Amino acid sequence: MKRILLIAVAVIAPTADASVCTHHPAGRHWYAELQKTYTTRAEHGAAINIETTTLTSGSPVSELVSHEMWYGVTGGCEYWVEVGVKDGVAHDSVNPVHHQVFWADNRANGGGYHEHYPAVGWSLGAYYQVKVVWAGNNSWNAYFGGVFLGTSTNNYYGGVHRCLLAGLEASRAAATDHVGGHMFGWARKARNDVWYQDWDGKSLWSDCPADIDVSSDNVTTEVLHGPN
Amino acid sequence: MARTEHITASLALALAMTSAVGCADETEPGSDTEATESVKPIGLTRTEIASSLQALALDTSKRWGVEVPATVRAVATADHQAAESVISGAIINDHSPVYVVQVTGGTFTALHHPPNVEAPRGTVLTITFDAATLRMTDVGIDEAAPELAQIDREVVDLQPMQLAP
Repeated sequence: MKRILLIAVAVIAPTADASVCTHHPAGRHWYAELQKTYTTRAEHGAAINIETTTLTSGSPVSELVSHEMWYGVTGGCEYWVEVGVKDGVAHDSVNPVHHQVFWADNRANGGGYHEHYPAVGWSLGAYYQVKVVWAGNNSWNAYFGGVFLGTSTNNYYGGVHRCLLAGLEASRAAATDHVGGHMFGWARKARNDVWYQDWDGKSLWSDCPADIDVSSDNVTTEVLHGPN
Repeated sequence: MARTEHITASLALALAMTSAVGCADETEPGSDTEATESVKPIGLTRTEIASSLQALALDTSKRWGVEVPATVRAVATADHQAAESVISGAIINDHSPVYVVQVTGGTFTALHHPPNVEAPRGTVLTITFDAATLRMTDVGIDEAAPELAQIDREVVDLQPMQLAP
């Protein structure tokens, strides 16, 4: 009987790795992230397949939730290109815009921080590959589901360190804010322009009540107030 | 040991895992449908459009941290891509007519950012709106104001309307 119970538990919970969510410090957003900092070997890009099952900001005029990947062009992630989906990008106070595909960059040397909302359709419950890839001339191309979104220019500062992050962000974690989803197929593009299907040595990190787990078949489940 | 499977393997797996995969053949930079020659929108000369743009800009300014900005100026242009090359330096695949509104007068703070990284800040907020729908297509902050006159010579001051009864 005990043996049967153990087998049942193993089937129900095939988790290979789980984040231990940490107490959320005041003044910071909530995250549940897969993360990896490379000192080399991810110089030319990163990609991951993202399925978003739930994405709702309870107060879309002033608060946001997102499901996305950041590609830090520096090891400390000070400057980056990001691609994903977001809820809570208010068009105005009367007509909030929901479920937007977006990409953004943060650049040094007066380049500023800029978000872009291309008219690209997508659906909950489907996988899309988000990708940032070196385009030469200090630039990076951003893709969502194979669709070219745009090029971040003047956004390379030398060096080979890169900061890779993927998961959810929420500007608050009220009971009405919901994010759920999965990710798999995380990949990095090295300086030799070959894609490698790993973020080897990756770690998981989350702020309670957000959480992220990765299963034994390398699919993550990230959630903020579910469902996922 | 790092596996060296090509990224296309993950796409194949995605097809196997879900019945609805939103990934088609990859489009490439510059493959946009160039097209139809667009014309500069005339909305800045119409009170209702200018008022809507002002209201949208002030709302965005408030959410990014500045409730009462000092200046709100706008231009209209026939080409979104050309406007973005001036504002953000980004290359985008869209040549639609847009309005660009620039707000100054305080410190704006980005609404999201990676963990353990300070939110970007700047003293100039620039917002781009699709001319047909007034949907916000781009928003960003800088320390130095992108020169609106490089987008169009007719720079319109929207701020006085805030004081109108």
